[in-house]
Amino acid sequence: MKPLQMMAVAVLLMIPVTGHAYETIAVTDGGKVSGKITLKGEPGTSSKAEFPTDLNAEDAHFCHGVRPLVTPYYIVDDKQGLKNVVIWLEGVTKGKKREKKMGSMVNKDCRFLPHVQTIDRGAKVLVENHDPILHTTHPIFVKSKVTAFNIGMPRKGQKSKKKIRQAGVMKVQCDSGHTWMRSWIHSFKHPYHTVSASNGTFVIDGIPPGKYTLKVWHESAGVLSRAVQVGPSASVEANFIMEVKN
Amino acid sequence: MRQGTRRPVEQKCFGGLFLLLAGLSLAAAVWTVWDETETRRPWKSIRSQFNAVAARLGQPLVPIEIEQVTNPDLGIVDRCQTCHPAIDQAGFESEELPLQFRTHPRRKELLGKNHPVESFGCTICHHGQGPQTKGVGSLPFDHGRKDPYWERPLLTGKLVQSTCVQCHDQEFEIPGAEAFNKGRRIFEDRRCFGCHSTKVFKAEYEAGPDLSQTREKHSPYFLEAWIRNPGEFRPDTRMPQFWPNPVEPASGEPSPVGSERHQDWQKLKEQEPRAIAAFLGSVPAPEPLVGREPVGSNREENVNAGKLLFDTIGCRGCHRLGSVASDGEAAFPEARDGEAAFPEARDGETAFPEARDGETAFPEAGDGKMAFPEADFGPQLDRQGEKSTATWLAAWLANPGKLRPATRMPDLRLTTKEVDQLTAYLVSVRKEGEPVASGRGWSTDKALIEEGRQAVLKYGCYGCHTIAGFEKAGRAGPQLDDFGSKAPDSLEWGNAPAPADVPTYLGRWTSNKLISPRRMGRAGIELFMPHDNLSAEEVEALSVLVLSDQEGFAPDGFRRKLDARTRALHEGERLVRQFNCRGCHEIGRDEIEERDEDGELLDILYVPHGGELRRLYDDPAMAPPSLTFAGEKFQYPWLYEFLGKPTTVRTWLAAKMPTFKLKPGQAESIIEYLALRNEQEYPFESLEVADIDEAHRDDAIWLFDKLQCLKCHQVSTMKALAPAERAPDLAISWKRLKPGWQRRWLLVPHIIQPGTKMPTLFPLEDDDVPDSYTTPYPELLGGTVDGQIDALVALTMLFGQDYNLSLTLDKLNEARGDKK
Repeated sequence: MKPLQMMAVAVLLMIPVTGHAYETIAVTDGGKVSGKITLKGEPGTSSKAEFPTDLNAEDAHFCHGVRPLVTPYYIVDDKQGLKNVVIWLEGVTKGKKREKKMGSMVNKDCRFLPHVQTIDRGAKVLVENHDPILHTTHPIFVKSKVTAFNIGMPRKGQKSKKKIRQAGVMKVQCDSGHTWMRSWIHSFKHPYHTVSASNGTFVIDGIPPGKYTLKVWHESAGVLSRAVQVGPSASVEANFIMEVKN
Repeated sequence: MRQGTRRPVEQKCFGGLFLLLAGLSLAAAVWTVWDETETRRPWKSIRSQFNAVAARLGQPLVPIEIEQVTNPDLGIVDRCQTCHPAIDQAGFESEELPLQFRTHPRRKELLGKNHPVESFGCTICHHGQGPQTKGVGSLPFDHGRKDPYWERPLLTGKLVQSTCVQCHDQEFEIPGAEAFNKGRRIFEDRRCFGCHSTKVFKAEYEAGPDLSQTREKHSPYFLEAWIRNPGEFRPDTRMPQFWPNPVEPASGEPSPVGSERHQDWQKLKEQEPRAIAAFLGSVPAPEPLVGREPVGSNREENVNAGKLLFDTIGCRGCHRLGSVASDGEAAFPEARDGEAAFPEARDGETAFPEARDGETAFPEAGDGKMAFPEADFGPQLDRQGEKSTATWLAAWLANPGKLRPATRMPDLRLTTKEVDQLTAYLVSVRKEGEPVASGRGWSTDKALIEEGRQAVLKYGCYGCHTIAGFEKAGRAGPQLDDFGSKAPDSLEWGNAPAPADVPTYLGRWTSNKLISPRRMGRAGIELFMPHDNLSAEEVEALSVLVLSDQEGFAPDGFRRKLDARTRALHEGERLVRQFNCRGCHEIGRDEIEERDEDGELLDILYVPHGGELRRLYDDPAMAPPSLTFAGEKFQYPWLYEFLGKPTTVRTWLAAKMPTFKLKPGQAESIIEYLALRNEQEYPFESLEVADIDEAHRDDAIWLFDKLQCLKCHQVSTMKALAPAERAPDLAISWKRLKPGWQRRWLLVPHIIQPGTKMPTLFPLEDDDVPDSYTTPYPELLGGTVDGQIDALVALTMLFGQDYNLSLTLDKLNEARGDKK
């Protein structure tokens, strides 16, 4: 069965588009931007998932057993270093080679792991189910509402490598009645992106000298940005303070 | 006296005669040579000039002789190529060459196989006089542009497209004839057909609303103001302006304020609309409005509920109300449900800078603010509360076809409560301080009413509107039949000065008429065609349309006969537009390949044809479904029944498929169209499923259960386990869905139905390895994905039909219940 070929029949027109916005160049005197994201305010406490009232017995039984933590909107270390913040340089059009490193999306204990990740556009995500119940992994581009992919895995141990074909922010949801499950994938056309570590720190390197806009995103705290000037082989420090928002 | 030699008289005479003759001969020879090249045979020097160009370009030279195409069937003798030798020859495309020596600008598309010049010639499309290669009398050769006696002057520019329909009369849209197609659309959109008939467009619905319920629908003061200047109240209305500002006939300049003409106009503009309103308000409805007073029109909760209905049930597929959503909330549902995921969502810009990347592919992604679809199929409904009374609105919404049998508005099968809510919302849509339409206070002044009746007759209001007493009045404007074959010198330019250079040019006359219709009248010929504020582009397109109505059609061998398939596609497309199916549904898509910097295929982007409405829904799965693969999906008898009498398949959707008043044969045409678009057989369809014996059936049931299909789907009385994630009842699949489509659906649901929550249960092991589909249960049914899908499809085709199967499923359910 070749569904894509069959589809082509129904399509009126195929226009090739060239001009991907990123160009790979040799970066010999690349600079580095590093820093730390600190949370201002009380992060609050995480609570256990509240299951929807119509959750079926089998899932309720299993998920109750592991009872995932939800609302970990702000995860900080003892020095208020904020985890799960996406940090990137805005709209870089040329620079080091994109590695297209494979991402990971594990369904485990009725949660998606990791909660936040970044990925090069065109790279794949290895989707796995570690639970013995049906989960669907359904990332949707937040802005265009386009589904990146949607796979259902009813069995423990299932795996599939799915390509992320567009740039943008995806919210991942499970349509199997597990309304509390969610995670985030940010896909970029360039390789200058990362996620803050559990102490809130980050490093982006191999940056061609120049002036950039550095942006940070947190699912609850929003977006901040600032200009950074990266000199040849220079190391720039850029720290952010994000405020708790209600 | 000087003695000189004397010659004989005879000798003197002959000598003189000889000189005279020699002189005359020389003069004649010079004249002949000059005449041969410049006046009588201008083509000779043109061909020489062409040869100079050809030599420079390294192209073959042409002999200095006439080139001629004759075709007795078409009645043409065309010598055009004599002066345009490269028209069907590549290599002369440069814009630096003189126009007459260039290759035809659309040679590849139009000439060659489609219209070989050897048999079609030129004048069949371009008009002009084919055999003519020189001027007549004292007039220079200018393709007859300065010659009033040419009956078919050359068509230039887009007007050439007015001849396409001579051969392409069966096509809904003529490929390559963009101006003609556009003209035909405008002719329909602007409701020109209300007053004018033409054989190149036939309407199947009313041009304007039936005015039978005027008394109960409007308020007198509103109606009067509306008639006076509809565009003032509703800028994009289709109703034209009947009292346009006056212009001076000679100059075309606006008449000065205070002048006699201006004063007369003011008086008419004041008086006539009032009289017409009085007359229309005096006409009793054939039967009283069968309505009831809507309940709670001024209650806020009704207004809010009505707004929600208006935004979600499907009204916005055809109607616009307001231009932009109040904020970006709807675009970012997460912002609403308390998760506070996107505090920045309101300005859109900062929160998702990367999302912009998708813009080329998904223009609707926009800038984070969500504009409503630019629906202009039905009237814009801003300020509707000032226009229509609540009573009329309620009756209309409850059953539009009952009030106006020829309307295109379908029946949404609203409940009484929904009617009241929608009415409440529409009544609330008013300019601040403006009252609700009341339907009271109509004039009883008999003289005024009679004056109104006369004015209706004068302006031909009955052309577009049904008005009691005018049923037999016919069309208000002249027929346009054969207009394009009119002798140019028979045109009446009226007060408008005929242009000196092209006194008889039909195209110029038409555009003048469309720009300023009444200027073409004069004393004794008073004209009342309204003004429609057409743009230059619209005037051009409409001129093409009007000119295309010419005598007869091309002979049979040349007229494009559509094969049955193409004809069905054209007819289907016509109906899909007539019913505005794309207002709600995607039907067809373009695909755009996207590659990354390494040339690797990244994505195939889908640009949907229609279905703009889905932008309004937070969850795309809640929007009206895509019909791009409908022909492959639905069984024809089911779809036929559904189109005639829609039933609710997805009970949880707010959007609702309305009931359309289809004429006999139209449902079949739409189904055939959808089927042919998907390369399906029609009218026969394959419902072949795999043979499934009892043992395999049990395995299939087991697989069905393991895949947890029942988590979202119900099968008849077996309810879904997670009712929040709803999916259609599989007990109707056997009569609704084609097995072939189901097989594909199980593999790539999100491609078939963008935004669906149906996951792929047989994912590719690796997206880069085609056909590496995997099954979670390789121990079942031979372990192949194809085999398992075949078995599942065969199983679903048994649901709802097979009693034993229901029992088995019931047992399954019991077993599951026991586990609890």
